[in-house]
Amino acid sequence: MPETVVRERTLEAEPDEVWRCLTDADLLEEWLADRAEVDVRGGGEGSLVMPDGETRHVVYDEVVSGERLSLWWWSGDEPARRVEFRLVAAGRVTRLVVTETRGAPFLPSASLSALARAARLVPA
Amino acid sequence: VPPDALAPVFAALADDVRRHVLERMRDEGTVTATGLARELPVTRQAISKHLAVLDAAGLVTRTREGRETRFGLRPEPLTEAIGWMAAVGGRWDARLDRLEDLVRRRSARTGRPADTGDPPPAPPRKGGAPG
Repeated sequence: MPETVVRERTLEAEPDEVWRCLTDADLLEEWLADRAEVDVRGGGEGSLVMPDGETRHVVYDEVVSGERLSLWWWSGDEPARRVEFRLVAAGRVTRLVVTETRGAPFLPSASLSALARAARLVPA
Repeated sequence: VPPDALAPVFAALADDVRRHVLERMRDEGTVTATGLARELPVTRQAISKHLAVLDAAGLVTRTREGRETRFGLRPEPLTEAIGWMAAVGGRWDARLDRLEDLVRRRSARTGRPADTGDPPPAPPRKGGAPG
């Protein structure tokens, strides 16, 4: 589908180690964002200050330790985009597949109340 | 580019009939709803709806020819969509380069502690200190 961008990378570490790099705020600041505050669990929220200075809001969706992490992110008034990380063990290395999708319906399977808060539909 | 501008383009592309219509316009220059209805297994009314979706996404031009409207391809929104994908993909390439680097540095540190001991002693300085 044209609205999805897919990237795949083989990383020289086991999935648990790659998972730490995807979920630990200090480690996220080493590769994804200049500043990261995250609450990695279904419905958990976070914010990332990206290298270009833009702040992205994050709502986590599926969190399956060492296997799969999906989230919605957006900045300002733009529509949320879905980002999914899939980790596949391949011997002592990990194949990481990242997809970013726009135009997908914003329907996380995780906590809807956290989602409503994130969307400022209800007071925190 | 307003953030929402590409959504109708992607929605327009997410359909077999509409992609076929775009390909016909690319190959033929212009098409008519009647002509498309003859070659596709859908009604003329359905073709009109698909053309309206393409039109709303800014993907077609219309020219009146007698009683018929001829539709042509307007590729600019596609160029924009491809640009978006290239930009987003490029950002992930750069992020994954940094992640790969981070993983490698960490495994060098934790996986092979013997290799990361004290730095080798500095070579003796030429000349030495006076005295």
